[in-house]
Amino acid sequence: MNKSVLTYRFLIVLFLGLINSNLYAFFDSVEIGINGLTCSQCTRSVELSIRKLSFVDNVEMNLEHSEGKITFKPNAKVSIEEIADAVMKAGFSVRYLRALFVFQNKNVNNNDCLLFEEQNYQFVKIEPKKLDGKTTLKFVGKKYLPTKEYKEWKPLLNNKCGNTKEPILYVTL
Amino acid sequence: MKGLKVLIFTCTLINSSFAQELFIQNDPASNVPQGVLGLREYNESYKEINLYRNLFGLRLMYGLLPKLTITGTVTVSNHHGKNFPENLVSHVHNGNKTVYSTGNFQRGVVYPYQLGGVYLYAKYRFLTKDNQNQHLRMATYGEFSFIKVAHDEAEPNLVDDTKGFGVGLITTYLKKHFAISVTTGVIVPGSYNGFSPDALGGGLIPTEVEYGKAIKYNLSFGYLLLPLRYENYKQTNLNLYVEFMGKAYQQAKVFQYGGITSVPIQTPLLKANNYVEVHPGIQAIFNSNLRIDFSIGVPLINKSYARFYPIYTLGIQRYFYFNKS
Repeated sequence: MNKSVLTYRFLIVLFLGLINSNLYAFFDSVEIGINGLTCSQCTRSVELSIRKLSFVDNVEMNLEHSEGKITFKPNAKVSIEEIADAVMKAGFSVRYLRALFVFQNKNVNNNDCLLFEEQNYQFVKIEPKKLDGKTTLKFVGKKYLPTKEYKEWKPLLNNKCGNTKEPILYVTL
Repeated sequence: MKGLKVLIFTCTLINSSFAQELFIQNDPASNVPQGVLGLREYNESYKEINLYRNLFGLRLMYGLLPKLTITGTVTVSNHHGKNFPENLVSHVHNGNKTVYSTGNFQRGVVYPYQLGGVYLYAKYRFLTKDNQNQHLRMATYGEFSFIKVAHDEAEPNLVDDTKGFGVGLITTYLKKHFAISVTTGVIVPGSYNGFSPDALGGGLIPTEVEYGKAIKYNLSFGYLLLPLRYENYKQTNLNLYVEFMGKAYQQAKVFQYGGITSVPIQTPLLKANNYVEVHPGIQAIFNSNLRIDFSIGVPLINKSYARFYPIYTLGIQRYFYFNKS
């Protein structure tokens, strides 16, 4: 995402934040590692599958390291789950998925649950921390990790968001 | 100095993180991406006595689900005539008895090109063990063939020679610069009811051939030769393959006059057999999509009687992603 779009989004969030205390962050980009990729045609398939998502603006893949950076259209609602599904639809698996957020003075504790763009973000395995500025959140759900790594996280992934319609995304710092 | 360069080049290849499983003869356990359409046109040729037998195949592949791929293939070839060849069945009169037998029928007969039929294939990937730049995958497949040609050998080939069905397993493993894949399966062919010219001028005799059931055991190796380092999608990929194609099949059964006469099998073309061919091949991929491959098949252990050697395979393939931009 270019600098002017970032600044634009940041100003909007800042302005809205003044009139609505629930807005404390915005999405910048996602970094994703792909497992199982073995050829440039496979990498291209993954890229094109992600590009089909309506909220995606650009995808830059690193063919050598089988990872990519995804940026989003301004004001678009981003679905992390749909990104992971797009990788799976191309026939591959997510090795890691990290999202870069820009926070505004938000204090978080372990198991805190934040509602953002109709998705619950539950923080796991973290120390109490004040989030301000650019912060990378690592997703630790089943779709976002290799099976072996997910099994290590699984005991920590207990819903603390209560009865909620919105999906819960487990994240760590 | 030259030796050192070769050593450095070899080490670079061995340390390459990518392998290729886009085999020419066999299908890997991986799938076509969901919602993506693949198109493949291929040609198989071999020289039979003084003429070339050619087969042209057009294959559509579609990723129905992330783990389910379906394909349909239509073939046209000059492999068969409208009727079974003359001398497929011959007979002699011994007193009041007529003794039938399958003869060594003539090869190298000119046949016109004809549509063989349709071959359908579905593959489901049930095991996925992915790691960075490597994977182990297993898939099961089912194949169905609606081919109607006067195939005159015991060996079943569902793609272009015989109707029937088959099921099997594919295991594909990639590590560093190597890809290896094993395909095993069974083939249950149907029979063909046609006509066989009577060698003694008795006209066309109703003839049925029941082809032998078969098992196949194929082994493929793939190796990415170029590029040494992936940088962008424009780089042309060069891949080398060695594929072993094995099959064991039962003896055919031949009947005439609506099953009244069972003909003893004498020619090796209709007897049980097993063989292994080796198909070394080379493949270039342009713009990370357009794929052109070529292989030459020769017998390694025994041989197939359904074709002659060497077998030349030339294919061209690409995917259509249907992205808006």
